[in-house]
Amino acid sequence: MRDPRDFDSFYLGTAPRVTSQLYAMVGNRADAEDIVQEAYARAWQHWDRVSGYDSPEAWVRTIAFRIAVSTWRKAVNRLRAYRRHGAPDSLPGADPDYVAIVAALRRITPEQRRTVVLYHLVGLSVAEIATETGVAVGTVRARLTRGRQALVPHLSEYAAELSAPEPEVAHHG
Amino acid sequence: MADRFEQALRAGSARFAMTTNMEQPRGVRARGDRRRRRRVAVVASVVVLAVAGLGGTAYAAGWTPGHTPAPAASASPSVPPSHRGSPTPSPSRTPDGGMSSRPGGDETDGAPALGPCDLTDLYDAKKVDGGVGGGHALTVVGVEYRGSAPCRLPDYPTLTGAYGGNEQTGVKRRTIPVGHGTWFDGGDTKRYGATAYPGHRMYFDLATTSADTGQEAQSYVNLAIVAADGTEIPIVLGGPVESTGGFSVSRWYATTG
Repeated sequence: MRDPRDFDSFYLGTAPRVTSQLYAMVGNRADAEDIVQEAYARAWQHWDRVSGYDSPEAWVRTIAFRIAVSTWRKAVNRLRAYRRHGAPDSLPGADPDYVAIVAALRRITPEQRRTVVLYHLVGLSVAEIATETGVAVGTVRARLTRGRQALVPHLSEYAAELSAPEPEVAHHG
Repeated sequence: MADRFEQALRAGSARFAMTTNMEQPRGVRARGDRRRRRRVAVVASVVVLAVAGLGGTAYAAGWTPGHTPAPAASASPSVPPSHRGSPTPSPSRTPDGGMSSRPGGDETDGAPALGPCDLTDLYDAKKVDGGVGGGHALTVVGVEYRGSAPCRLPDYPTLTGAYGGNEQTGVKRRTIPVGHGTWFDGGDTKRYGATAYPGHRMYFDLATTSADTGQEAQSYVNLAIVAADGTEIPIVLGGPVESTGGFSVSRWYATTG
């Protein structure tokens, strides 16, 4: 039996966070909000099952990312537009460093970007990312290392941190 | 200890989270309910297509996206079919137009009981037909039997396939976990448990789903049929098979059409 109060509580408590995480992945506020709301709608659609998961939030985030990838694939022109426009949409009051980071994230591959976001923003361990993304731990490490390296040319201010060897990025587990 | 990059990312994201424009929960639930109703309607329409025989392929006997029937589901008897004197059209449709859970067309041609076919005598396995609808897909696999004597079609095929394939793990091969189902294409042309004659073709159906089931899609390439002795007969499908709701196979059948 789906309990709407249970779902509403979950949605209100997690949606802003998931939206901000997805924004870091897609770089567009409106898209991030639309995709996340669609993902939560699907969560409600299957709430009797999803609510029993260890982390319904991880389920929503995974679905949201899949929707984002699907949207990219369907809208190649839009993807090209993303590439043409170097900077993300304007964020009134946003920290310039954050805007620069999101812009840089859009310049690396979606797999690397997802891994970097899950690791550095969501705070998952390498093993947890492997589980959430369905790839081997070694693949996660490779994507993380290469993703950080790929960010260096676009984030010179953080070049020292991003160029750090693997042990430096192993503190999550 | 988080580095400066991580600190900046998290701080910026936290500020962003405080300014998101979120829809009211009621609106999100309404959207989810609409999706739910739409899915029910799509599944219903596929069943209607199946009953009307218009879809070319159909789905029945308890197979729904995200749900794989148990191998011994009542939809498909796990015991060998009983023998009758002559082929008799089996009532695949119920009087009210619904689906019968019983596969149509069990028959043995009035011949003495034959042993099951040796699958190592199968050749030229390939996709011969297929159809999609409502987020489902059915692939018809045909195989030529080149044994020296007639034999009885076995029950369900066992399939293997290759999966994975990233830079760390490489491609792996395994038996594909499948459910057992029965689908018919609107006629009584399928003969389950029938006699296979040398040079004739025999078939089975492979059902998959592309609908969003909330599950990770499973994908296999280089599928093969596995014989009793472990011999693998490769199937030419022209690409990978992928499903978000598991895989199901029908019993082997011959056709009269």
